[in-house]
Amino acid sequence: MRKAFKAALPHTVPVFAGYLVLGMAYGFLMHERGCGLLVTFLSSLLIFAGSLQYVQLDLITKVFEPISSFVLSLVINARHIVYGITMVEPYKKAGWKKWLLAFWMTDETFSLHCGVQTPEDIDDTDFKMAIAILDHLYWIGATCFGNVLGSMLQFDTTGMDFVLTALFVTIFVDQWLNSKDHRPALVGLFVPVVCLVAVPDQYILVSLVLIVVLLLAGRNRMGGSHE
Amino acid sequence: MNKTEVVLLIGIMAAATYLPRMIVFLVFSKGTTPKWIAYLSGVLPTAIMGFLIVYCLHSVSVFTYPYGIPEAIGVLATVLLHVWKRNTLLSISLGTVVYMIVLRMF
Repeated sequence: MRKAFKAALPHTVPVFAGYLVLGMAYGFLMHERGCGLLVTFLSSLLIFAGSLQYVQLDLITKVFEPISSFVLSLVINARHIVYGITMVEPYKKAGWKKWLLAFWMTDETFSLHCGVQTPEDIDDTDFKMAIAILDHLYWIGATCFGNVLGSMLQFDTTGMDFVLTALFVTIFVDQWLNSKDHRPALVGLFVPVVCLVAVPDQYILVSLVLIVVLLLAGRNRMGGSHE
Repeated sequence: MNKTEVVLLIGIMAAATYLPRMIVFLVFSKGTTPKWIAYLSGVLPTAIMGFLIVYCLHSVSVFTYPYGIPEAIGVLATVLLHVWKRNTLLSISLGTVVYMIVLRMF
């Protein structure tokens, strides 16, 4: 296992850099919302989903709505279903450890598990586990560091939560440039805008349901390249 | 939200994180994946990103000062940087810095 960590480490450096920025910003903003080290640590340990934790920052400031929070989180994480489909075969030889690997399957870890070839002298499961564990440790470390930093430094952070918007914008642009059919993206962009005007109080649930329904209705015409 | 609700929210979000990550291994580890699930997991991620952008900006008022102009400039800067350099970290950090600066000019 030690050898696996040594071999995995260089591959995880880009993830480390990314998590450092996004994780620190998250920890910092958690502090702004009155959440200390323990809550930040628990969130990163148990949720471990970057974009979801940024949504959590927003939900914390609002009235507690368990069902709509759950549905929103589910839909945001629905992309992990496609990761799972991709990894069913590769994770098979991991035995019971496949549950841990699935547990750790963030966007970044998934991309490394898909993209990096396991060195020949190292057990494939150990190597994948090492990548996943390192990534999780980076995330916990960065968010907690940001949270502590937030309690020590005093500066005007107004507008810093734009990192969340910027994160989603960059993913959106990536997906846009990588796909031929832009209709799913446009559906995702315009349905909530319309719902925001039509049913402002319920727009989250209504637009999420509408998006799924519209995508299913357009099934024969949209996203044919994904099959 | 009070402290108890924050902890409950963490539990809810954790459950909603692991359900999608594990469901495929629970359901389809032996047979084949239904086509409509495969289809949805292909198109949903793109649509959800669009939704999330709107979700982030939903409190911006375009009818009152400053008319959402700082947000528009921030998003535009992020998009242009990203199309140009395709470097996620660079686009996020510079886009946010641009937004924070513009916000202070209004």
